[in-house]
Amino acid sequence: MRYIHTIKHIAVKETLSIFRDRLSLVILLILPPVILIIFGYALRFDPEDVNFAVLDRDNTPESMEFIARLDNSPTFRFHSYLEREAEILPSLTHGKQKVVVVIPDGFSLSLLNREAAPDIFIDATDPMASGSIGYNLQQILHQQMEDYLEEQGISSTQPSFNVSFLFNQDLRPEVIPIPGLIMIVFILISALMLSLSMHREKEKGTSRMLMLTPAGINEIIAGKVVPFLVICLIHITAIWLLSGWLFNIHVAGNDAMFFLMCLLFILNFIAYGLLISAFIRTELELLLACWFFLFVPNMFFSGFIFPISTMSPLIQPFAEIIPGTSFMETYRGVVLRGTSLTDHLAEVINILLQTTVAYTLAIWGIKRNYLRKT
Amino acid sequence: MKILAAILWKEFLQLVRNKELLILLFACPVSILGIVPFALENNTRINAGIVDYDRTPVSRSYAGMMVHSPEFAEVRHFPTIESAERSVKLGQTKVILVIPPNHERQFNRLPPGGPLKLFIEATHPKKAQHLLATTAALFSETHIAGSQHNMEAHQEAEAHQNVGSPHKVEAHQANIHNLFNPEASYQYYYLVSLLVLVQTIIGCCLLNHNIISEKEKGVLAQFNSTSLNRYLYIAGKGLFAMFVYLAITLVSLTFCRLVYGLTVQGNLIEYLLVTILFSFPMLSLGYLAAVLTKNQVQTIYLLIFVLLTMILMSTMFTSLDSMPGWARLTRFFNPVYYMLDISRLVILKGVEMKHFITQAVMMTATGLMLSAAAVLLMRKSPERW
Repeated sequence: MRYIHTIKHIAVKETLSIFRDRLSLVILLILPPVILIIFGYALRFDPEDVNFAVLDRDNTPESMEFIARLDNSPTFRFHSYLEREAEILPSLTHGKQKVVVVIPDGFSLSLLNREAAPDIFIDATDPMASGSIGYNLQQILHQQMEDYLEEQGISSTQPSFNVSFLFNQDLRPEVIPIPGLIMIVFILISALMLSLSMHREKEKGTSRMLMLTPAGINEIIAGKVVPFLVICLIHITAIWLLSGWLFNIHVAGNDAMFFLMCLLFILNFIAYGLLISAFIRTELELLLACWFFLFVPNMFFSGFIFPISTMSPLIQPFAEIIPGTSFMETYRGVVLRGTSLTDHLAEVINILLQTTVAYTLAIWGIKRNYLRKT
Repeated sequence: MKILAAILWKEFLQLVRNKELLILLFACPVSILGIVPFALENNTRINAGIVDYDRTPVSRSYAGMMVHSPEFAEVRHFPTIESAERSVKLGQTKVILVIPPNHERQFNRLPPGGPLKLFIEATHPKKAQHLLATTAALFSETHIAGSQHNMEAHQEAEAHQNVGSPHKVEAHQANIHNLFNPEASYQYYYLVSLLVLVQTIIGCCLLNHNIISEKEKGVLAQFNSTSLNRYLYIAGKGLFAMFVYLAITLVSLTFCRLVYGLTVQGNLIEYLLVTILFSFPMLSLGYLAAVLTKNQVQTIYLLIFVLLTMILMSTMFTSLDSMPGWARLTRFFNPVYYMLDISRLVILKGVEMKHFITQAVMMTATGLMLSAAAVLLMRKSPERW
């Protein structure tokens, strides 16, 4: 009971200090919803209106239809005609085009064989976009061929598939960025909140005063965590509501599981933030460490940008255990596929273990660095 | 000039005396550039499943095709669709092929085969589309090979019956040429992005932290009571931060060259000049954030928001063509976008300076606007100082 009493007092003190810094409080409260709204709409991974130039050596109704089909698709936008082959490279290097389509002589006749297939030159400096561009272009060409064959009354040898997309039937693109954005919000905000508060105490010298009170280190941290957890609960609720209202992403599983999952990950990131704050001297170091050791690895290795299966075998074990990966997997399971947390036991145990280890190390670091005479 | 040299010397001593920060400033970029590219190998192998209700040589050949395909890491057999769906739900399998009963019998028809069913986990729509294309391409080849054999028999039979033979049709494929990155490697592309990420974060935080910590500790107030020109003082700090920034860029470029063989295709001097130019808006942003806020906590929260917006909108993780119209417009105010664009042009394509003058001018203009806003705010309310 005494512990709870002490924790309550520390929590009240921390709440007051949060409320007295209005600007920080406002930023803290509005940052997650703003990030979710702006980037939930802005981050898309399918290219649209990609400029293309054409070198048409066929000049037949079929070649023009191919150009028109490209232009009418949401992916491509006709930019210009080229006259010579020598113009291809400069137009991709300096021009506004990302694609040059070279339609060979005899293209119309070749719709039945591969002898005169068009040559597509793509600026592939961005491999992700160029892959999408190539795929969409093949699909348009393929469709033109299928239609042409149908007009001629010829059967295609292409196999037929009945395709069902599970858990996202309409292939809604907003499903890609939302889990990643939530992860980013949790990483940066949760990790920074408590660690900044702890570091301020150290810098101002009030940490020594706190240590002189009857409260133990665990009670101090627990008391400081309480108001931040309340802020995090507001974040989770905002994310839950906005995902449903704006992006139509409703929790397919249990809503309570979603809240529990988020809290688990927030505690994990708080522990990591605490660990960083135990070993740094200035706020700049804290900020750099959060960006480079929390944001960047979780952004690149969690499966948000690249699937883990595409990574080097050397790095895959690391990618599998970082908190971001566990979050992305659990989020996609609980929210999109409707699984329960028990279906993600490995991820939950991983997170609990990491939280415990990070917290223990943080306490050791705080005792060593905060209490030691400098 | 002497005063400027003194300010630079003071900043130098301040940095050198903080060993942790010095190590962090150079170790962060190197460690990030040393680890992250391993995430970019692009050899996708996913787990697939098969529900075979046909159990014939043809259906077994499908399983064989999938097992031997480099696209699939593991191909599991499921007795029912329900068990396969459960596996997809748990994230263990990404694609399921269901071969219906009597598929082999229908295979001899034109078009060959009855409809195969494909269940694809689509929580990541882009990956789902890629999976569909991959699997369809794989089975298209099988069907064509199989149908050719069947068609010959069919044609022979029809020839005996004096009926016109059916046409043989193949998929029409375009010849795709990937320029500037023939192997579609993600590594170089994202190395450039990481380089700009490092420049952005360090550039912005360095001057900002320097000013705000001095402001908080009262050092700036002390300088204010001297005859030192405060603009010269800030300029000195900015100049020193620019040197550190350039040093970090050089270390990062050398690291990329030694470890990954990434060379600047264009002119290195031109690239370094652009780097200096880019430091101007980033340092100005840090300066403005320091003027706007009262303490380090506020400035950190503000920078998190601003930097995150700039980084995510800069086409670092997605292409400009993928963004909606309004989001594309934000690039005009985003120096990170222009720096990324120039870096890709110079490092990956070897483009000369005359082709990225516009981007350089835009970066400078943003820098001028940001620093002007900071100076104006500082003049209007000296208490911020």
